[in-house]
Parts: sequence; C-alpha cells; structure tokens
Amino acid sequence: MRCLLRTVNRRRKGVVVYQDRELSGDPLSIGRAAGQDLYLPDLRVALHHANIVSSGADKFLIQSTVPSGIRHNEKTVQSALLEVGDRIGIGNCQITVAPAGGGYDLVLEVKHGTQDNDLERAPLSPGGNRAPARLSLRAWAWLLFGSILVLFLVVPIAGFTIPALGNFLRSIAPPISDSAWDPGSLNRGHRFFGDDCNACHRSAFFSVRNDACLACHKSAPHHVDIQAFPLPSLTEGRCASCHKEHHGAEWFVRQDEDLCLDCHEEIKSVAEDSKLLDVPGNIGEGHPELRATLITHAAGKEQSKRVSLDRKAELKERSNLYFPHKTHLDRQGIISPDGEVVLSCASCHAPDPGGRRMAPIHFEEHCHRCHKLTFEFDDPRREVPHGNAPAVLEALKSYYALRTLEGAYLESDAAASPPSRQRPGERASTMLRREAMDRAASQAEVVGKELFEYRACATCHQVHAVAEPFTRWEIKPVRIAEAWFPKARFDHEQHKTIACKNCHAAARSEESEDVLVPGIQKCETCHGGLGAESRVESTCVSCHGFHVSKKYAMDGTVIRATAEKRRNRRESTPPPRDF
Amino acid sequence: MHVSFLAYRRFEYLKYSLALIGLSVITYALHDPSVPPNGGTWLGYTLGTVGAALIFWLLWFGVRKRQYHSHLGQLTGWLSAHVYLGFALLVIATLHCGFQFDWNVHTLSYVLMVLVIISGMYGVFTYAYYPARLTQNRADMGIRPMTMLREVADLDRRCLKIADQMGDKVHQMILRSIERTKLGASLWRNVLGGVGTILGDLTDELKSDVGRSQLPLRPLATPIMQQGGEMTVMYVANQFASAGADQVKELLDLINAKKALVTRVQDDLRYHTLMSVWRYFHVALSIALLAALIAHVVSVFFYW
Repeated sequence: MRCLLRTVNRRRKGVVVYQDRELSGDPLSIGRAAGQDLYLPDLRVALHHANIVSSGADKFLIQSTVPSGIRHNEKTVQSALLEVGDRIGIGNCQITVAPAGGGYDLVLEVKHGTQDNDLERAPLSPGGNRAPARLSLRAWAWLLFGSILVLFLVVPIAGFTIPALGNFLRSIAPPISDSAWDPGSLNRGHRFFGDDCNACHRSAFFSVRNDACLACHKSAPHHVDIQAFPLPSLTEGRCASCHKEHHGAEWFVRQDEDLCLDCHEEIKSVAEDSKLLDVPGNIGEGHPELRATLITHAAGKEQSKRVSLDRKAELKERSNLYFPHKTHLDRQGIISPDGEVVLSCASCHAPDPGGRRMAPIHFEEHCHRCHKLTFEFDDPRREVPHGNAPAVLEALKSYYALRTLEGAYLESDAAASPPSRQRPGERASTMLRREAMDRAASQAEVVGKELFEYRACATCHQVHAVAEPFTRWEIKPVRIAEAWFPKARFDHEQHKTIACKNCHAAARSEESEDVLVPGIQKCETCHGGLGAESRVESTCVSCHGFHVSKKYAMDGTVIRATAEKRRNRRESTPPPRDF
Repeated sequence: MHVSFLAYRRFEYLKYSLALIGLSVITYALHDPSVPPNGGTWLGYTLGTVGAALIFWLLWFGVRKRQYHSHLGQLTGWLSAHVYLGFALLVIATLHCGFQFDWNVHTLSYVLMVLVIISGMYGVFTYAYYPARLTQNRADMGIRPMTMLREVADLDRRCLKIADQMGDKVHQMILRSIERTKLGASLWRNVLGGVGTILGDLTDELKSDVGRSQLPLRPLATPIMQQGGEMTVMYVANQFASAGADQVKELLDLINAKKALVTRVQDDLRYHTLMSVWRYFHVALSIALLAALIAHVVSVFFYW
C-alpha cells in the first residue's frame, strides 16, 4: 500500500505547516518505539500501538495491538475500517483520513498534540460540572413549548375555523382536536352529540347562546305566561344560567335555592298580579304550607281552587260522595257478601303503571264486590246498571213489565189486586196490558225510590230527586281532584317503603270531604334544604318544576297545538272516573 | 453572615405563602357554589387569576436572575419568594380546579405545573444538601475543579513513566486503565456515580499480588487481555517479580492516589450534576407549562 502521511504543525501566530512523507508496506505500524512507520512520541502511546492493514480493494483496517485500544471517532475500539473523514486518536495524536489521490491508496493527516491540549484531552473532561452538552436546555424547552401550543391550541382553533378539518381531527385524533379542551363529561342526555363541541359552542369567545339549546328544545314549556309576566330575567335569561354542563353525567341543573328565591321570596315585587305565595325559604327553612287543589263548582262549570292545608274550615273536598274511610278500614272487619273482610289501603288503592300516582278508583273493580246493586229480593242476581241514572229506571220498568206480563205475583200488591190468569195463546186485552204497564211503572218507581233515596245509590252518592213532570232522580257529579298537588313532583314509588298511614290519616277519617294529605311539616320530618344534616337534601327543583307554563314555549311561541291536542283528547275519551 | 435563601428575612416569604394558602383554603371551604366546585365559579376564576399571575411571576425569576444590575430586591429574596410562593401555587391551582381532573389540556397544565413544582422542590433539597458534601469532598484541593483534573493528568503521566520503565506490557496495562477511566462521561453515570471499575480491579489485583507475593488467583476478565494465549496479568505479575520493588511500590502508590482522586472527582461531578440536572426538568417543563397555560386560558374563553 502506498500511503501519504501529512503531518500538520502549527507554528506561532497561527501559521500551519504541512510535512508530507510517503510510506509503503502492509501493514503500516504505529507506535512510540523506534522503527515504527508512524512514530508518535507520547507516553500514552504503546511502543507498538496499532497497525493499518489493507482489507480488500481500497479498504483499510486499523487494528490496535494493545488492550487500551484506539479512539475511532471519539469511541474507544480495538479495530475499525477507515473511511474518508474518520478521526483516529492515539495518545495525544489525532489522525484524520483524507480523500485518497495523487497515486496514493491512503492519505492520513497527523496532528501532534501539545502539552496544553494534552491535559484537556480525554479522560479529563473539565466541563464535567455541567450537565452533558448534547441536551440543549433551550432547544428542549422551546420544543415542548411549541408542540404544546401547536397541538393543543393552534390545531384545535384551525379545526374550529375549518369545520371539515375539525370533524376529521375529532374522528382520527381526538387529543389534538377541540376534544382536548373538554373540561368534563357532559350530562347523560347530551352525550349523544358530545363529540361535536360546535353543537353548542357556535361562536368563538362567546358564551353558549339560547338558540343552540332551542335548536332541540324548542317546545320546552316556559316558566310562566310571559305575556302576563314579561320579566327580563325570564325572557332574556340564558338557559345556561340554570343548566350547567361539563360536570358529569348526573349533573345538569343548578340546585341552589337562591336561584328560585331571588324572585319567589317576594314574588309580588317582580310580579304584582301573581297569585303565588311568598317563599321565605326552602323546606325546613320557612317553606309555606302546602295548598291542595280542589275542584269547585260555580256558575255552572267546574273550577279548581288551591286551599292551604292549614285552613281546615275551607279544606273540604265537595266530591258529592259519601265515603267514610274509617268504616272501611275497621280492624274488626266489615260485612261483605263473602263474610267479614278486613280491608287495607291496598284493597282499593294501587299505583298507576308509572308508579308515581295512585290509579283511579272504579266502582266495578273496587266497590261492587260488597256494594251490589240488587233490587229484588227473590231475584238476587239481577242488578241495575251503574253510572247512568236514567238507565236505572228504564231497567226497572222493563224488568217489572216483563214480570207482570209473565203473570208473576207482585208481592207488594198481591192481596189488593189478584193477577189475571190467561190461557196460553190467548192474547191479553188492551185494558189488561195497560193495567200491567201501569203496575210495572209504579212498581219501578217504588223500587227506584228505594234504590236512589235509601239503599244502593244513596249509600255512596248524593242524589237529587226531580218531581216534575214525573219522578226521576239525578246523581250529583263526582268531583274528586285527580291530584291534590298536580304541579308537585311527588313520587309514590320513591316513598313506597313508608307505610301509607304515616302520611294519610285515613283510619280516622269519617267524612269523604277530608283531604287526607299531610302538610309540609310531615315532609320536613325527612326532607331538608341544601346542606341539611340528618335530612334528605332536597332543593326547590326536587319537588317543583321550572318549565311549567301551559301557554308559552321557551322560544316565546304559544303552545297552541299542544293545548288543542289535549282538549281534543279530553273530549273524545270518557272521563277517567266512573263512580 | 450568610443566611440561606430559605430563611431569608426570618422566613418572611414562608409566612406570606402560608397566609396565601390559608386564605385560599378557608375561602374554598366556605364557598358554596351552585355547581360542583370548578374553575368557572367566582372563586374558581379568582384562584385561577391568582394562580396564573403567580406562574408568570415565578417564570419571571428566570429573567430576574440574569439582571445582574437590577435593584429590584435582592436575588436571595427573589429565590426565597420563588420557592415558597411556588409551593403555594400547588394549593391554589388544586383549589382552582375544584379537584376536577380529566384527559384534557386543563389537566395537562395542572400535571405540568405539579411536575415543575416537584422538580423545584427536589432542587431546593439538592441546594440544601449537596453543597456541604461538595465542600467536604474538595477539602484541601481548593475550590477549582481544574486543580483536581490537573492532578489526575499529572498522576497519569507519572504512572506511565514508571510503567514504561517496567516494560511494554506493564505500560500497556497502565495505558489501558488510563484510557478506560472516564470522568463525566454520561448524564446517568454522573447521576448514579461510581468510578471506572477497571482501575479499581487492577489496583486490587496488584495489591493482592504484591501483598502475598503470589500470582493472582483470577485473571482480569477482559478478553482483550488474553491475546496470544497469554494471560496478561500473569505476565505483569511476573514483571513485578523481576522489577525493582521500589518501582512496584511507587506505581502502586500512584495508582492508589489516582483511584482516590478519581473517586473524589467523580463525586464532585455527581454532586454538581445532581445540583443542576433538576433544572433541565424544572426550566423546560415550566416553559411547557407556559404553553399549556396559554392553551388552557385561551381554550376556556374560546368555548366560553
């Protein structure tokens, strides 16, 4: 191998002097001993430290012959293949592989170290009291700064500006879309569109507006009749001032009492014409007595009236019924066709299918087992129909006319007028038929009077007899409120672990006009306001609704369609009560 | 008299910090928001503003400590306040978020802030613990690390000189031990400590060899040393037998001295590294926190 050895000497004032020397032979030896091809006069070089051998065409290998090895590109190795630009360190000497040329197979540049830079060489690294230089603190910090700002701010904002990009990011990389801004999970009901932030957040740097909510909840009822009470707090309020999102699946409505009490503490101060009571505080903190809604009858039509439960004199339900709960709940039992039975609340009262309220009472289902509508002693299976007073008389007339024509004795006047007997096939005379009809009519009236005024009907109903032009009876309409607290969110299902009698004093009630619901004090034995200790924490909205207007929707439109629909339904279906 | 930055003005800033923490905790306890506690209530916004202001002020410490001509308080005072108010930030930010955490940029900011504070607390620990050990380690060596390094280089030279007189193989052995002794090689090596083991091994071998005048019981377990089927150590030991006892003793003394010195240099490097490496996390993460904080604040108001 032909090798050019170029020794670089630095002189004073920075002058660089090159000294070229030609070597030939294979291997070329490097060491401190005399006779080495490359002589390195440094104690840190062994006498024979390394060899350079050719290894195939234009390839050269440097091999250390001592255990301390050589430094190849700042790495201590035992042998290395030489490439152009490689730096070989032996002792304080630095050998650089230069591009071959000029007829040489290998060109090496040799730099001998001085005493000073010898000291700075490895293994001594005076910079050791600094952390390693390859970690640049600034680069590392700015890299983090930039990536966070781009990934979590710039990219999501770009996604907002370009909706297609936003949707794409949400679908493939939620962490760098605006999903990364999501401060907490949405309410259960809103989760189905939860990935689309812009369903609610429609404009940047503006809080969520009502139109975002009304896009879905257009028909949600308003709080009040906003024409009668056009309060700015209602007409200009934000949905989001009560409905708070991003607080988890269960949390959606503000629970604090102040929200309601702001107006309801002194309702007249915001709505002069309001018929509502002032509410000094939540349950346990001055909540007014409950008011039952009762049906009254005035000027020929039914009306409802709210009566406070503590006004005993007024608190009468004029239902036109006679029903003493006390009698029916007699612990000794009461007489029934099947013998003595002991009734309980559940004998008649069952929850409606939703479990929230109690299902209505029906005569056939709940009363008829004991209260038979029989009228003829010797025909105990025969009964008059229930629920239709004119039909009762018709039924009686028909029955007695048939009996008379069949020639049966009518016990009551058997002695006074002997029955006329006829042979079969012989047609009765006109006179005889009239006599039979008269007899049946008068018998029906006698029995009818007995039924209506003394026995079957009058047991439970208030009956009104009309004498002109001929005697007939009318049953006064039954007026029982479907619910005494129609606006309350009371749920029987949630209270089913408590015995009925704890709240309903039915066992002592002798009059059907008793309103058998407890007052607010009873509620307060278990329920307390927000933060109440040893009570069930209950807020205004635990029992009261906000969206209760029957006239206006949240978007300010009249709920006409719904109201009409409801009216139509009421007219087309029979009343639920059928006493 | 020197006063630690921790005890600056009789713990003045510790008192401010505790007052700030106490005020925040009491307000939080008395606060009864209409929604679950979060950054969006009036207290949430207040604590958030205080927290953000604190973060900007704490970051400003990096600028202030470079303003050598500033008369805006002593740097010791700034550091004292930086440490104590930085700790208060942990409480303020936790109350700000009302313990609501999720996988989002807001919690990212929180986590980064916690990491910055923890790394800072570790930094306070290193500044309180290592300087004393550093001084002890450098006893009689002066305070300049270069002195120690010059000493190592000088020992190396003297070892090589003697070894060269003892023969090529011994010289090779010593050369090898010198080449393999790395100081401040890598971050982890600095942090974890420890000297190049080969130097230690060699010293032990030589000691046992000379002490008992026997061949070493086990060769150095390095394949390179067994080139040519010859066990280098045995050879070296034989060389010892033939060389003058004075030279062997001198070489051993030098090697021992170097070993002790290298241990001290390594400890020195390690203490320095430990005292500075936490700043890599502290500073870099605090800059990352600045970005996350900007993203947090902007995103909150972007989707208000």
